[in-house]
Amino acid sequence: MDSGTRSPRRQPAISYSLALAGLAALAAFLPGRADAIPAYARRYDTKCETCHFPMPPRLNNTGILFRRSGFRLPDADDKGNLTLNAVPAHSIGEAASVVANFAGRFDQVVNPGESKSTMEFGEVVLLAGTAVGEHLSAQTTFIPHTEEGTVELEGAEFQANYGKPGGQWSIRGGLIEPNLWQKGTHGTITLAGNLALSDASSVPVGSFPGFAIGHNQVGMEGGYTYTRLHNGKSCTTMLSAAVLNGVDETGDPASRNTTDGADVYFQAIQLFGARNTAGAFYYKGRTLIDPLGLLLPPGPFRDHFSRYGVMGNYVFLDRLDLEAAFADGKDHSDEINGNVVSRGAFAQADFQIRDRWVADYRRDYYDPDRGVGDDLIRAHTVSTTYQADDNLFFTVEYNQINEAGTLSHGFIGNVRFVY
Amino acid sequence: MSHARTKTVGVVSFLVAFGWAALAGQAAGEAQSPELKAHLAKLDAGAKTIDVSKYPDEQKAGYKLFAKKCSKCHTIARPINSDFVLPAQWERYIKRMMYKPNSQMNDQDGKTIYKFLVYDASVRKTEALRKALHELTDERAAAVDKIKAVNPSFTMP
Repeated sequence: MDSGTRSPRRQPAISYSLALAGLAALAAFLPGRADAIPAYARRYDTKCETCHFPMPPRLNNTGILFRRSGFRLPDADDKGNLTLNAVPAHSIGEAASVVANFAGRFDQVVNPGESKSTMEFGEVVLLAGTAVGEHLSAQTTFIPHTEEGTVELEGAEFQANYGKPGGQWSIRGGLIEPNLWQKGTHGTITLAGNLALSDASSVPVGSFPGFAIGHNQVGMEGGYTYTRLHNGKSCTTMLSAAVLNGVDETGDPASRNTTDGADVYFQAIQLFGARNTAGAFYYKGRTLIDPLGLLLPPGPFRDHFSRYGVMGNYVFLDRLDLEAAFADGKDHSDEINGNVVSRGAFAQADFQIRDRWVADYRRDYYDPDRGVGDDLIRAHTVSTTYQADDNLFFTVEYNQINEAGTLSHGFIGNVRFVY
Repeated sequence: MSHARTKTVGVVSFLVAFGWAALAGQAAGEAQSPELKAHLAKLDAGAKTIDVSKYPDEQKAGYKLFAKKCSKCHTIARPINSDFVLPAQWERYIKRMMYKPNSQMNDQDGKTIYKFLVYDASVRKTEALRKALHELTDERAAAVDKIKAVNPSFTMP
């Protein structure tokens, strides 16, 4: 454990940090959104199950390779050699899907002035992606209505793939989702995201709300994808290195780099069998806090942080998908003149009760600052989702969060329309 | 980023990306011709089940496996209403399906589904099978032998 030397400011800031951590933990448990894209199924004349298991939006290995190949569907010729089929979209209508959420929820703990029970009209998301010509592809995630009623461009990336289907070099850039392993981020089946790979930080460091590995970011990524296909069994290795702008002092993705150097992100993912994965990542970044010198004592301060972890999943008996991730992190802050070491992990089981009906359980563990005792955040999430048809999902979910011994819980009933 | 700016960037991204896609898509062409699309749509709109109550137990089990494995990516109606009737056609088609990445069909699955489809064609698609066999010359005897290997009571229509 490395908590480093702490400044006098650090100790009084602990309770404030814990409060922020709690809010961040709650924020992480807000309803997420689906990334299932029926537009792809329509265009490729295939079913959701081709790319998703046990249910959209989680991708199986065909879906992961489809995305990595620039929206080109892995297939085989008559001799069993791997091919990639592209069906380009000719219009936004062919490329885009719309996702809309409506939820009723009850929370034990809410902000002042808010009712514990409420109905929410969640995000409306437009997702679109297509192969362009032989080598290029484009993807956009546009949110005309966020949960806060604002407009957000969540992702806009362009990608080029070169090489043979079995060995592809790729480069992509824009406002990208850097994480290749999306089972714990955009591919989560539960409404609530996990804490370890969340896009909402649970690690406030001084005035900095903290870095979250799940964020989309502005940057570029280069990678190599090697796939072997033999008698219908594929095995894929994905390597990637990215240079990213990182986050600004608010913890949000920076539209411009705020420091002298860029953040770097390295990932290695192995896909084996139809749905199993294993991988590791390492992220190193920095940001500038209080660039205008408005705090006391005045900044600017630098925060250097690193995150690394391992993750994977394995499907048993064709029905039970077990996934787990472990992520460690360290922040070195000029502001507090010390280090904050964090650690998070989750284990999740998704059981396919029958086709289109899934039950999930996840256990979250997060220690936002290993140098501080009694600040553990632990959570149980129990959820079940029924996919009424290709376009309609019903979810009922219960979350219990134990934050430093204080229990809170919430129930959510959610209807999601996807077209 | 301000909301107005974000919205503008979003709209511009959409227009640029998919205006580009539209042009490139025209050049790249379609993976499926309109004729093939229409044909597949017709197959998909047909019967979705087969009455196997009078089939042998082995073929009833084969039907279950066929319905499970062959409905993962396309409708089960597609192979049920397919024009394929000859053993060689099914053999080639099933091999193609087995080659697909993560098809999750092993050799035994492929053989079981092949036997079911050959048997099914021999009792349910007799007219189409008769025509297809009559169009064969050198391969007819071999095709009949393959059908008889699955359905011993089969006689040349």
